Amino acid sequence: MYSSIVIENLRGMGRLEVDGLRPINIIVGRNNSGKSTFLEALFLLGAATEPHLTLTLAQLRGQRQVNGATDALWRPLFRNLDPRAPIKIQGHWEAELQGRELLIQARQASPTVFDSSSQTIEGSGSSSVGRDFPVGRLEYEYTDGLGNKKDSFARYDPQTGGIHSRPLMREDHVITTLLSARFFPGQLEDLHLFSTLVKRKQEGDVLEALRLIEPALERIEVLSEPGGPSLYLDLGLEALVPLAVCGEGIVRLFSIIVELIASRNGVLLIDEIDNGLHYTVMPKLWELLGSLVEKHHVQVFATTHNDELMRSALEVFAGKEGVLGLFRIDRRGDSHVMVGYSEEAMEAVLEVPFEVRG
Amino acid sequence: MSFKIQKPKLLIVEGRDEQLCFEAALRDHLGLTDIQVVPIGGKTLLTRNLTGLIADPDFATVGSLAVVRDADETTPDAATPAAAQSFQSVRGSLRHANLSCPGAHGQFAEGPPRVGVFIVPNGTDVGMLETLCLHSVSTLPEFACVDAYFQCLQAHQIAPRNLHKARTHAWLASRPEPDRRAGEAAQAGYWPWDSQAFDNL
Repeated sequence: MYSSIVIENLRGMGRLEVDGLRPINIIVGRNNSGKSTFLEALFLLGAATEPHLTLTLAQLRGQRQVNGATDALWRPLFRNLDPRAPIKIQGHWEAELQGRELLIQARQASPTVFDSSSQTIEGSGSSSVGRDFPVGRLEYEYTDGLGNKKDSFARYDPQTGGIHSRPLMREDHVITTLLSARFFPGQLEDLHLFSTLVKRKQEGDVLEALRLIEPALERIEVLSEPGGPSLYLDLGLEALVPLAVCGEGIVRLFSIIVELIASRNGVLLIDEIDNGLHYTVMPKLWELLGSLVEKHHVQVFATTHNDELMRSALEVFAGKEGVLGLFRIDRRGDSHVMVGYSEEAMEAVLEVPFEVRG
Repeated sequence: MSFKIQKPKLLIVEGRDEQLCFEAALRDHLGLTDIQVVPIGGKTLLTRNLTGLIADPDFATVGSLAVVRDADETTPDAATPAAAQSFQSVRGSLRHANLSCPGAHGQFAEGPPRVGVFIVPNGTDVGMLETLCLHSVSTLPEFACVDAYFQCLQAHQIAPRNLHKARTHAWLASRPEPDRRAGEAAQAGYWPWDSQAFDNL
């Protein structure tokens, strides 16, 4: 579990520090305050030796992947679109003596491999020329909690038209899953994860969770069909119902639950957790997450704009010290500040009730 | 509905009744519109709830705040005057919230935000909001009726636990709407703001 995070030069953020992280962390803040960027920082740190996963971030942000356009793909990761300032993400993991650190540096595309019709290439092989050098390569330097360093990289591969990277093994790898607000996992991914849980005999947790919003649910089945396997729910009707035709709330909750259980001993990042969920389900959702997080040792970071969801978490975890963290990202001029709520401040928020979301 | 900081100056009071009273005083007596009265909960909750206030997303816009506290008679340390105990208690809460603390009742400490502490009724005497309100009407001829009523009760060995509140209720029972609390009475214009009793406000 991370206890603290420091982020430098990622997207719009100059520097952001937060400590006092808990097993379940709610992140609030105004639009464009950096909530999603905070989750992305955790994702990058979790994928610190897999630089090709920057592609995933781009896709989750809705960026279209264009062959060779690595500059368009990677430049938005850097603060104010300026690739000269390296991205640094530090995270202190539980009992480790020092923080884990990921340093991402942009390098200019080599003229021989950079493929862009719209930008002028100013020299090659160096990152020190020109403010707007086209980013053609990312270099990763990762330092683990024991001080061991590892390097990896990603660059455009003109032969395949894709991104070539050199992922590395790391002993301290933690599963880090990011559930985007825009693109939640598709049914196929859910199905794959659910099948994995069935093999581990953990489908009972999923069933119990879904019963929160669909008490009639008796079982979940993976059925083989001509177009491929599909998930079906037994709601006590004459026939099973495809999960895909159920309401958004149950589909989204299904994704959250299977991803959480599959992220055992890892980190689950959920952007806009309240999407599609009715307010009556929220207290039950937190109770469920509380028990699953403890059972599967998963640390959850969830962003939200929803006041009811935030307050229902405060109510559910009131008196359970050390379980819930409440944080708000404030944008003050050009800088970002993470405001953490103490246990007593969270009690005050419930009592008065103070505004939290910004 | 969530509390929202909307003005650059905050007046922190205990409860809804104090809020109504001070809002009326600020509006009708002092003509001040840039002060927001915040009911933050009873005195035992001040320490905790100030931590919630300072975490408010708009707290950085607050230029000054003042805490109003009663000088209760119910404090356990009899050696220290009630007003002094109340003042020290508020100072402790301010320190806990990392806010600056003035040296005495009626003063402001530099900020940001600037912070003042006001102990009702006057920083010295025992009392509360109702005490201040009663002072404003105690010289009216008809107030003798209230005095006579409590003398009568005393003769029958009946002693209300909180004489300030009891006398306030007795007085307010004589008003056109007889069932109002001190703050509601303030909103209804039952307290004469031009009385010297409110000069310290």
